[in-house]
Amino acid sequence: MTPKPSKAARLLGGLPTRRFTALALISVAYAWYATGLRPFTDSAYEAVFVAAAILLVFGLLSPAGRRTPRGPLALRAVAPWVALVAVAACLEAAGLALGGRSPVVPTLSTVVDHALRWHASRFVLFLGWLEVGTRPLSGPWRRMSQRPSSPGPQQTGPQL
Amino acid sequence: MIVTVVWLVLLSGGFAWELYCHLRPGRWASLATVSSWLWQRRAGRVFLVAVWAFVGWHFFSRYTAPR
Repeated sequence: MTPKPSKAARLLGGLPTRRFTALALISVAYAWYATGLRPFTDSAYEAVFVAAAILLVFGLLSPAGRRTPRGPLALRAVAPWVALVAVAACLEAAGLALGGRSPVVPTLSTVVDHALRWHASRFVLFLGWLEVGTRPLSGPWRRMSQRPSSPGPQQTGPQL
Repeated sequence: MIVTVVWLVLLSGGFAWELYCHLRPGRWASLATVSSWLWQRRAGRVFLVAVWAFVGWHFFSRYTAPR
């Protein structure tokens, strides 16, 4: 019998409590280890590579998206994101054109570096990065573990 | 300094917009919706993992803490 997910587990991806707790503990330990490594070292690169490789393998094996919008996404629906990315790209390009370390026009990396100064802040950001990366996987694997029940209603995305 | 504030405004604006899209779904697409739409295709998944891995590699493996 599949354990019923707790409210917290449902909010955080729908995994059963025991599995969610185990994954959360592993993620926390891994994030603390990875963010304690010195930058620009092989072990720092490997820490990110291992997480990316695991996600890629599970992503390619994953059956479907967490929320699967039907049909194409309308350009109008994503216009605010396109505008935001365009402004960010222009700022980044200007910062890089000025050498990448300009105090007048800093790049996004230079701004974020201030938040990466402390191990605790790196740890929190790394956990957020892991959560963002693993979020699309939680739904499909949960549904697979609950088969052969009927699939739930699919969420429709914004349309034209 | 001004551009730093612009970056912070962009970042916080992005978070706020994502939150708004979640609270009032329908008209606008959240980043979660866009990524789910991309996730339906194998190439889209590889693209998303590549972007995610690049962000991690760039920020967590190659950061330079300011003095």
